[in-house]
Amino acid sequence: MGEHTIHSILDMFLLLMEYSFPNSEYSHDVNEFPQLFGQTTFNQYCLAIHVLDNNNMFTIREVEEMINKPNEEYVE
Amino acid sequence: MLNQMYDTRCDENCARVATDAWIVWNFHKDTQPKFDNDVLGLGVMFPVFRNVYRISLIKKNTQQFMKCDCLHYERNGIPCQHILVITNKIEDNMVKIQHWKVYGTHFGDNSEISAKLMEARSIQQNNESNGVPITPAMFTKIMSPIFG
Repeated sequence: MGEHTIHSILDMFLLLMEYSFPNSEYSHDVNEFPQLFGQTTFNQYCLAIHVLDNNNMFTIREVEEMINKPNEEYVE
Repeated sequence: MLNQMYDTRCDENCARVATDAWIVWNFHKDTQPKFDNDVLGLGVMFPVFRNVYRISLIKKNTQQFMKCDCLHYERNGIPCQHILVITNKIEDNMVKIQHWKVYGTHFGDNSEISAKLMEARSIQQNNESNGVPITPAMFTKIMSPIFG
């Protein structure tokens, strides 16, 4: 099976998933999210994602340090 | 307690990360415990972790639910501030039926209202692990991109 055929099948599969699950993670649009609400800034969002990625294992002090000294690891 | 949850929701940060998922956090809340007779000042060394909570939208048959990682609703029967940030409103059905005033006065008597309460409690038990039930109107509201 050629590479072109595989890509075509993959595209069809993605279209099918989008049609079948209009409100689920399968229809995730990278341009649409994240949507930040209230006073939330993008840096705060990046830090929150960083904390979540580490299974909420940072202490109050560690997070405070990260807020005061932003690290390239999580701030884009 | 519910009033406190509603009031503190304003301190939370919120971001929608997918169509049916949000994250809520508050990195400025003072949660460090105070210890009595802490002469050596070891209390400051006590580790307290910052949490980012995930809220997801669950659909079961025609009913929609919002479930938060903190499991406050599962423990206490009232929605947490993380869910209230998103809904921005408290509706009757978001509070477990056991907290309703009518439950204490009419549950178990031979009235029609008692039968309704028993039926509602049964439905609630069937959906116990799904989270806070929300109305179709609330669902439409939170799905729109500008709810806040």
